[in-house]
Amino acid sequence: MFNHILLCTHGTPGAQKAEALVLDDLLHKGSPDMKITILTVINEDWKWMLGDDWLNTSKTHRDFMNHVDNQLSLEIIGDWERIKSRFPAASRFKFLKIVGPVEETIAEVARKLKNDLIVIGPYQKKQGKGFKARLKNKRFHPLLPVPLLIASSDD
Amino acid sequence: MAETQKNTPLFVMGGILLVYGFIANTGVLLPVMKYLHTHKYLDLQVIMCLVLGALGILGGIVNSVRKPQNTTLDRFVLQPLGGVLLLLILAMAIRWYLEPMVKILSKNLQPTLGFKIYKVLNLNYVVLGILVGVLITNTIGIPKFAAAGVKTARFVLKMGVIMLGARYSFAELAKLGVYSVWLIGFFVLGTVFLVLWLGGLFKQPKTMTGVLSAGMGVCGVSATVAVAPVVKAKSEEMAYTIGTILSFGIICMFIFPTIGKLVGMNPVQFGAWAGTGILNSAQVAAAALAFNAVDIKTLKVAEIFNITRVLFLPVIVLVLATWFGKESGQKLSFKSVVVDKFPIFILGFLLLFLFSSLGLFSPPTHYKGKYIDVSYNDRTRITDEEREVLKSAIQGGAISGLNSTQAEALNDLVKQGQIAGNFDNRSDKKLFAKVGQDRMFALESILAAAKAKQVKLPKDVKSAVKHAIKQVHKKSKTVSTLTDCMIWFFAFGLIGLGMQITKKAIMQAGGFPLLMGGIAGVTKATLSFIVVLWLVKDVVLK
Repeated sequence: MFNHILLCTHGTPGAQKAEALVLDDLLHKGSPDMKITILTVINEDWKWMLGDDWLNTSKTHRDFMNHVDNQLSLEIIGDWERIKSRFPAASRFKFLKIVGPVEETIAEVARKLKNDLIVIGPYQKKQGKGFKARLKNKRFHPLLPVPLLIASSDD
Repeated sequence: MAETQKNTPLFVMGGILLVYGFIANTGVLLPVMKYLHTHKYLDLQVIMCLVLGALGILGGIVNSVRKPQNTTLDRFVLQPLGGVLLLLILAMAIRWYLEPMVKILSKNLQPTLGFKIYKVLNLNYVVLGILVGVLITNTIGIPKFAAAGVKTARFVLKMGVIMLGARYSFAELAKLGVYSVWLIGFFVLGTVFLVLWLGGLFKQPKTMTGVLSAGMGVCGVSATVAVAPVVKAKSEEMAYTIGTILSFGIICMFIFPTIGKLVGMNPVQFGAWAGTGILNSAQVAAAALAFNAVDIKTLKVAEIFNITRVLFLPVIVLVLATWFGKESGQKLSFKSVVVDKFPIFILGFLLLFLFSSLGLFSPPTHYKGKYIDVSYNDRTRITDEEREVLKSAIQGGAISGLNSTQAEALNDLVKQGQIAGNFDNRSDKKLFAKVGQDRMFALESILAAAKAKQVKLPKDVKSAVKHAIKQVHKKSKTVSTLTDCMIWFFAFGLIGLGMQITKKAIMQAGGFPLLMGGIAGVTKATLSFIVVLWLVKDVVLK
């Protein structure tokens, strides 16, 4: 039914439900040549994490932002490895990481890649670890270029 | 045409400033200014608006006719000009309109509420500036045209601290330095070790305890930013730590000055407490100015503590790097850990201190390196509390034996809140200065007469008069000008820094960093409060 799914994940328990829905369920029910792109958006709000620091030099700021960049890349690679080891079929698909505002970036990528479905995880009452800036439906829905599927909260 | 459109904000801001400057110059706004008690700054308002307005229009024209390039002029002047003008407009609007309106509103609400909101929350121009900055960035966001200019806030604040260097004497610096090295040394190391111990207790990773201990112990977000790459902190650890520190800092900025006033701390005690107990260095400056924005005594003390903390930063980075490097097998160079982290602006601070101490700013015409400054300025004012003391003493007949000149000088001090000439004579500078100086001599004669028991003067009235006289005795005109600039630099810088505090960053507070940070932060604030009240005595500040 779907030819190219955009799976959005950032490794939280909610996002892992989306991973299972796409890579366990939809992949097996779909056509053999179905494509999946696994997208991790690095929240652009990281740029605000220098807060009101005014004492450090610009070199220290650069070092910090480079460290954040490297650290996030390492954590994302680790997350992708987890996906590949849990769902071996995922290895043949494309993994993408992009920095930007979460809602706009997902919509933009879906438009560019000509995806026909976007899959995200459900909102979790107890939030998982990580950068606390979750997707906002009010902002996301008007931008959607294709249908959006939200994985079920039930295990 | 497209370039002109891109520069519309510059033309608009420049135009508004020019129009305001011209209108203010006609005197039409005088009744409003008198109602807001800002009429004494009429001349300053006109000059600042006209100069900045002209700069805005000029910058807009240059940007429109000239293609943007990557030159020094573009990077340091033309690109940031929009943001710089926006911050200055905000600073002026807050100082001359918002703060007086908040004061008036607080007074009107006092019968209903039973207290003055202005006093309880210390809503002076500094705190209001930060709040306005936070409000803008979290609602409409920083406008695109202002982004480059807002970034200059960090640099401007450092310039403010450098200028502050001219206000210390050797004796002050030596005395405050001893206090700060002991207190900061104890509390920095104590908090660092407390957090490391808590990390072990809660079985938290070393990367997290490392970054949190620096943030909680040394200078908040600045230390976190400096230490995170060294201890290889994970993303969530950095986010949670910074969120915790920012939330704690904002709360402290409001609570500290109120507590300090409630327990009757003197400027040295409050500066020492804020400089030790408040985690984030930007909020230390804000709390000090919130405690006392009339003169800069508290700021002087707090900044010495801030500087001492910053000087401890490379040491703590080195300690944590060694502690972390041993386990990870990581080798770090002395240059990357200490030299790169050294706050160079402190050299500027010391240089200005040295110049001032050598008398480079005091021309020989100033008697003993002093001159009398009876101009309209915040830095020559007495506090609102002192004004109230004088007012009730005069009205209650607690002062007796004054001659007419002395009584007139005292009444004018209550009326103007500072020793100065008459507002209506302000354009005749010679007459204005002479009247001001005569009033100062009259007030000095009151103190002499009180000493000779010729007049009856209550103790608190004597103290207020002494303060008023001290306020107009300035080290040198250059130092006073530097101080005026410094106050504006701090106002500008703190509004800009307020714009860097986002709700999203604060909302990151959580997890073990919040728990451990909460324990360490509250312990540090409470213990430093007790130690400061117990050990720190008043230091005579000029």
